[in-house]
Amino acid sequence: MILLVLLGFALIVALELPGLLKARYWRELIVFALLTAGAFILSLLLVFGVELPYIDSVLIEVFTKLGLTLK
Amino acid sequence: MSFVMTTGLIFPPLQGLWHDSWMTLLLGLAGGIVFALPYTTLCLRFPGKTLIEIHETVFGPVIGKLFSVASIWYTFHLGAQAGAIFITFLTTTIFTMTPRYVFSVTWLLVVGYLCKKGIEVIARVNEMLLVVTVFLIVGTGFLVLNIFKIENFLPLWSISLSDLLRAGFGTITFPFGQNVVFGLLLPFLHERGQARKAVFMGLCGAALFLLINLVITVGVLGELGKIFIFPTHQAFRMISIGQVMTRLELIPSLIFLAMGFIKVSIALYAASLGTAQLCKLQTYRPLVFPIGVLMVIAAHQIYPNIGVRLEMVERVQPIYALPFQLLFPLLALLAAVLRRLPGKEGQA
Repeated sequence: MILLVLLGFALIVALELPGLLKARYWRELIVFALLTAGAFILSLLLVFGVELPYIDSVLIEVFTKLGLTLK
Repeated sequence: MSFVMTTGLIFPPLQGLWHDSWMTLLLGLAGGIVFALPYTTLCLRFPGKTLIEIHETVFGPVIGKLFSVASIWYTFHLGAQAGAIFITFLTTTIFTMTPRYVFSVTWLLVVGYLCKKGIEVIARVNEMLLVVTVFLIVGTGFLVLNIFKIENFLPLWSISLSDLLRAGFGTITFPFGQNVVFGLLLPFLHERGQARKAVFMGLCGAALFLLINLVITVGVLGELGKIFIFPTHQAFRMISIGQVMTRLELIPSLIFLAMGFIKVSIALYAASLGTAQLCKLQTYRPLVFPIGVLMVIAAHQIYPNIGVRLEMVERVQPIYALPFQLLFPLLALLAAVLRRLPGKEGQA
């Protein structure tokens, strides 16, 4: 699974990086690198079985604590 | 139209009601049209600008960016929600032994490719898929005639007005109010002056086909349908024409696949474009796959089970979605009116 994740991200970088470098899109390159790094770290955490919070569960908890839910 | 009706087709907006849910759908449509007024007015007032650009013009660079981040988050969350329901539907009804990642990765590849090609390609693909979807929904209406029971809708108006309004409010935010995402896409219309008309017609079309779908589901299943997570799928399973045409549950699956594909594509495109505009980039294309991967991760981490999703839709979604769908565009419109933007010299 780790190999598949590495391969997937290598493909994304191989697909986008040459075009960005050739066009000298430095700003685009920085945003691309940040987003890709974020996605890569999250993917690795999931592959290693780290329990990440569930978005809807967090929202339900926050809104319930704030007393903003219907019913 | 495709964007709004996608999830509602397989996951009908019942809001805890059953045979009276058609009334909430009509209320939802009326509310959805009202919710669409602020952002369509903004798009007409600032021709050629998306909500992200309008936020910065109206609120200034700092506060405007905060509003933009919120809009991008909402778009991203909508895409992840649609993806999550899509994966749950497939893995619980048809491909029960297939790992979830098989669907999300193939989905990312196709949707990512479509987004990189641009909004015009998404619109053209949608045109074709929508015709097929409409044909399948209307055609199914005839196939269920032998098992359709009109008495499943009785007694009429068996709920209190307060319950109806609460459920109607829920239906406004899910699915009709979600069309606020088009605030990021309307500037790309060939005829910008027709933006509002296009949105309203899309909402009415979506409501019509959601209504047909809902009538089929309730009319076929009756009260029994309440126990199913995906009642549409179950209703289509009961179709039997001369014991030859049976088990047509593939129809809602096809409809949902086609429309879900469009919804996720639009959400991914809008989130990528919004991020590119927020960061003042010249192109959104390099961001499509990284944001797509993040959307896949979010789709897997959106709910631990479908029960949490149902709780979210019924209790939290109406309040959670309200700022994104109505308050933020309304605030931006008020600020634009008070600041008399855009100015005559086109400084906006």
